[in-house]
Amino acid sequence: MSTLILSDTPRRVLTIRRVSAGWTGYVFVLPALAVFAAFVLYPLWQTVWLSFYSWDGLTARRWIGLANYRALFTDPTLRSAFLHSAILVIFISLVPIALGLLLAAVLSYRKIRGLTFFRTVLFLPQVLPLVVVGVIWDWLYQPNGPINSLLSDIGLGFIARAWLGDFTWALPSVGIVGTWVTYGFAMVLFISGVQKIPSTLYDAARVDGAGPVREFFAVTLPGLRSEMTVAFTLTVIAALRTFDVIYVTTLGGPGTSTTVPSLKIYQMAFEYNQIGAAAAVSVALAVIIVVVTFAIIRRGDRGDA
Amino acid sequence: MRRLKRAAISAGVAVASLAGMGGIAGASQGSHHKNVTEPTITVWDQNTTSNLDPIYNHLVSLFEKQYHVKVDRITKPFTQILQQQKLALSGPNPPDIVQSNQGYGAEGPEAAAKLIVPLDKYAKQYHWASCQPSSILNGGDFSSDGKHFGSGRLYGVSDILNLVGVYYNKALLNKIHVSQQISTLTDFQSVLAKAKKAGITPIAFGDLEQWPGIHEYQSLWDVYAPSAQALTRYVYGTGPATAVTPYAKQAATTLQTWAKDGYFESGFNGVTYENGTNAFLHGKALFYIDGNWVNGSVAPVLGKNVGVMLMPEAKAGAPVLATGSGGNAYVIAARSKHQALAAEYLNFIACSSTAAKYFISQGQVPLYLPKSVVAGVQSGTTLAQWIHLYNQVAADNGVIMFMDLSTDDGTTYIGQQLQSLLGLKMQPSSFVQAIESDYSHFHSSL
Repeated sequence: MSTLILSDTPRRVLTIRRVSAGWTGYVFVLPALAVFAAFVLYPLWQTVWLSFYSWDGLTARRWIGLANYRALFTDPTLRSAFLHSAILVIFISLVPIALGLLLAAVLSYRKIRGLTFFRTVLFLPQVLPLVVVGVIWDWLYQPNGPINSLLSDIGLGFIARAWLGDFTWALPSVGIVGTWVTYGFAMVLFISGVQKIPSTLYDAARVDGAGPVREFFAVTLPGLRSEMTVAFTLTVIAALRTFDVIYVTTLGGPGTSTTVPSLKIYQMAFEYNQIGAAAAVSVALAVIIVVVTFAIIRRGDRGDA
Repeated sequence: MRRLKRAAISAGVAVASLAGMGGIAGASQGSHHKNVTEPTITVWDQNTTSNLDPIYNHLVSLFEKQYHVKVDRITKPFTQILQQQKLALSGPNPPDIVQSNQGYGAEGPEAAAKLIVPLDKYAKQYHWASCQPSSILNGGDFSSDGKHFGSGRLYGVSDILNLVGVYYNKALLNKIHVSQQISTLTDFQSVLAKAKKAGITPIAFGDLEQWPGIHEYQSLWDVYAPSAQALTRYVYGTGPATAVTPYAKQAATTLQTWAKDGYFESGFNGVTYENGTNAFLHGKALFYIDGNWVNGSVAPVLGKNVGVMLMPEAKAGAPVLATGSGGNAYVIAARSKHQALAAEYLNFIACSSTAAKYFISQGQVPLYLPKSVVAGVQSGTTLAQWIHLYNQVAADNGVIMFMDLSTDDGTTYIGQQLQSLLGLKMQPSSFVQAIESDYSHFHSSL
């Protein structure tokens, strides 16, 4: 942004018309900017500011410098919360994207009868509110729930367990809920991407004797690069700020095995009145999200070039 | 009902986003509605369930008729009150009464910020000490700097009882040939073993939400403890106290042994609180450790087959102690323009025989139990049993405040540690140490 303004400066001096045109642009942006500043920039600044205080939200606040940030490294619960987020990236970003690619490839390879139907059904989880999704899976995962019944019906009863109460399996179980919610989004994105790939490329591949697998790697995958960037960006963000499903299903348990930063932020801010500490976790989470997103977009851009 | 509200899921819960954080400082919220002719008080309460909501509608209408005022009753689920009360109370036009919650989460900071008023003069005026036991009334106390819970001035008052006990299924007891009363913890444990042997789940238990386990643990903590004073000093932090005590460790050891021996419903760490309750309701478990707040669900389903007792004593002749408190306490806003009228309303629901009578007719146990009202209760029902248990504990001043209120994050923290203890991921000694580290950390930060 700043480089743009700088390069404009000499021209502004040259012609008055250009100057006014430049400023007119900002006037048009002003209403949106005002809203953005009031509802995003100001709270963001305030959050950063509060993160240096110890504050219960009501009485006088006390400046404590970086103590809230030090806790991010020293508090084992907070550290593990960030680690759990990283693991959720696998379930909410990598796996859904892989599944989405597979489904997009299958559904686009030949004309399938009832394609719209399949697409709609597969996309359905994405439409449901996450709280509803949480309630559904909470029920599915119950020790006497449908998943365990199914497992014992097919002779796999030894696998059955209290999924959400198992210290090893609770996080993957919650992750699978995320996978279920997200893959439909990735699929729809990729199906629309595939439709933009010129059919001549597929014809050429087929003439050269490429099978479906070869065709996928040689034509489909490279053609979906920009969709991949979008999918990675959005799903990684979703994974890092997971809240609803955990809040509804495990509340971070058993023990702290599914605790994630957003849940901690909520609990600290609204239940324990540790506004400053909650702000510090928020800032850390926001920074991580920005850095990761930036890295993904940079990589995507470079790939396109 | 404190516990139930915690279980309730508010579909409107917003993610604590960056914007949300900032909002805490700025925005204000209030309710506004004025009736020119008669004074109006606005009450926010958490009584959203189908059992409680109609009761309060009726009580409000009785109050309005008797005092020629208008009460604007606004019900909000626990989580919403949690998120909104501080904003609402600091706004220019707050609700006159908010059903807040005891402890460091809300009442303490609100007292310290002078957003709520001390109720001592009303307590004196209306003789609240004569209609509620002091071990319950103290749960509404706070020092005016918000640092000391359970002593100082009275900021909150409750109307109905929360008491934890042990429900038992009479038909299942008969099935395993237990006919005499279970009067000691040793007897209780041998019945658990007997049930297990007979293929009956000894204790229904769903601990996915983390807080239900606190009732299990504290029930044992109470009976192993030497005195009410030791426990109260710990929960309220009124004197030097530690979580590392022989009785705390004993309680943790016993509870873990129960988990090891399979006395709890299998997979309890992954079973919802509701499904835990349902297992007992459907006759699938012999015992169920929970509060009188589920009596409304238990009694109609199991009828004559259900009874309730306190956790049996560990030592003969020990004082009768049990976990409990008043229901979530009501506070009066400092900026309320009708404080006296608000206090009148609180007196009506917390300390009038009209309200007491109506609560009992609807199957609830009010804190105020005038003899004339109790006389009408049908004997042999769990309602009658709860009233009896309450009287018994109150006589010894043995209602022990929920231990998770001993710190700001106790409900989550102790709940999580208990999941680890009962999931056999933690030794009883490390469990007690973990509770101590959170406790001492919090109390040294005050």
